[in-house]
Amino acid sequence: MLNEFLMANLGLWNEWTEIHETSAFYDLEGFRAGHSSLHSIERDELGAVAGKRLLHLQCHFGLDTLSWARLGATVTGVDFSERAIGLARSLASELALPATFVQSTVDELESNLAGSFDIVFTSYGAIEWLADLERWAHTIAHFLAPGGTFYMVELHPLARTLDDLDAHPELRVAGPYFPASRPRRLRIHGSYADPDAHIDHDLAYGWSHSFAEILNALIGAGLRLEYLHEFPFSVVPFSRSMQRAADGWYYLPGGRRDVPFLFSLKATRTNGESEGRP
Amino acid sequence: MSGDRLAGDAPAGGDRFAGDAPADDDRLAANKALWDELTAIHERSAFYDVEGFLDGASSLTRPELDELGPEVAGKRLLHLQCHFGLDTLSFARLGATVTGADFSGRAITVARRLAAESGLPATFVESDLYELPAVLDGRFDIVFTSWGVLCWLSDLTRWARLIADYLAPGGIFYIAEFHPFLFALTDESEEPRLGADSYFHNAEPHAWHNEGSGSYAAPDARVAAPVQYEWDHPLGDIVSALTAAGLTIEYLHEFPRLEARQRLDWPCIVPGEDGSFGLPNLPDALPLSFSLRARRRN
Repeated sequence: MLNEFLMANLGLWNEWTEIHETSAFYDLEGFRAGHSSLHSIERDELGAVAGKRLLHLQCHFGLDTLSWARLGATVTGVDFSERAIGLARSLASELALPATFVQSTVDELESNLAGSFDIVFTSYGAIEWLADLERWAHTIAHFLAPGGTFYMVELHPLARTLDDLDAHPELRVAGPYFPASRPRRLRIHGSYADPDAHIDHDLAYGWSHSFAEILNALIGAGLRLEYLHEFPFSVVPFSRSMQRAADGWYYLPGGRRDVPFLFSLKATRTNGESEGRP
Repeated sequence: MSGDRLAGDAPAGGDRFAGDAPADDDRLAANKALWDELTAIHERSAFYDVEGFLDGASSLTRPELDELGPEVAGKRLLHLQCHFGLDTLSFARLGATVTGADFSGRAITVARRLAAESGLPATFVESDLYELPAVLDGRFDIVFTSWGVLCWLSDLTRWARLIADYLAPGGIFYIAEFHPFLFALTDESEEPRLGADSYFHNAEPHAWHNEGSGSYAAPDARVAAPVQYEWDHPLGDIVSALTAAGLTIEYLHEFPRLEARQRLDWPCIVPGEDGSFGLPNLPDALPLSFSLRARRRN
């Protein structure tokens, strides 16, 4: 059952899927020709996935999921958009990449998927669409095999407090940073992948999540934090003035590197051994 | 409270050294001279209220009082960067067996005198943090540090290893500190703005040149120490240094306001009616402090 917020978001993501399928940003032709859609952060930090069972939460239309499959992982991708899952399945079949795609919200995944995984992965602009991170973290722990790895790379909570950078290039903090029970109403213009695209579903809802909320949700679900890394560049432009550098990342004008735009986090489901708590 | 950037005026000339960078020992000596001088000022300040302390008031603030206070009785507690020991001795009053360490000789002298005056059992050790194992043995149930400590450290990896080495198996590390996001804010604007050329760690510290600045605890005092060196440590570095040293993070808490005793003079952070500090009109825009608890695995 989707509430009004998720219904609005689903309309947007179905529409975005259609736009993204033909966008230069997602470069489906390049992907078909063999390019990976993964970025250096997750490729380098998650390391060797060959032979691993990998669950990709909020996978959109599966390019990253399928890129992990090309690296030898046994992949399952999950997304709440039926259009995204439809496209993901057709790409998998067209490219003859073995993959399972499941249409489900994160919250309802335990009812829609069985099995356990060596890796649970999620990335770039996923958790802002989730209301409840405790539920999310318990879902992650539920699907991780003992000793399994959770890995995420996401937009940095500090960068997400910035006011609209096009209107306020002076890097003004507007917030909110802390989680609230009600979501933020988002007026959507185009897409991060195609800012000039026309959008019918221009109203969506997002939730802010603090570092404390993210970390404590994972810890509370029984995961042990291994590291938290931060990066002074972004995977998508936060403003029209952010420039894509030769390394593929977007930087603030002048190349300044003092604002964290991304973070990555790795955590392990412990084998149930004592963590030292008496 | 172990202090922070000098306050009263915004720090002037915070450029990182480019060319003739001073040696690490010189930086340490400059910071030590500053803290020796600050000790003499702070000892008499209303902010630290030594008289109130001797009358029985605790110097601890929230969150550490609520989050750590209830469990210290009977525990061996090591307080790193303890300044002149008020918090250390406040934990002793709560029943902990306390050891405080600080690099300022004057701070340690005052701490010992206050311990004697208040009749509280405590051990105080004068040592640069990284040299502490040369002069202090033992294992502790709790390692504690708070408020304005991390910016004086050049190397969090060594810091975290030292903490892990001093912790008994199952022992806990607890820190309450200014949030690293604060140091990403420029000190030039009354609205919060990023772009301060800080946040991420750089091996070259900021060199803050004091031009008649006061102290956070005594804004009208005039500090003679000419320069101080401070390092940025982003949240990820703090967390990752501790986990790499073998500690398990138990929680991270973040707070949108600073208590009066957690004073930090930033133009965008102003006192409210209750004396606590925050961003006016933006109550949930940023975390200004954090606490973190971690445990050494068995």
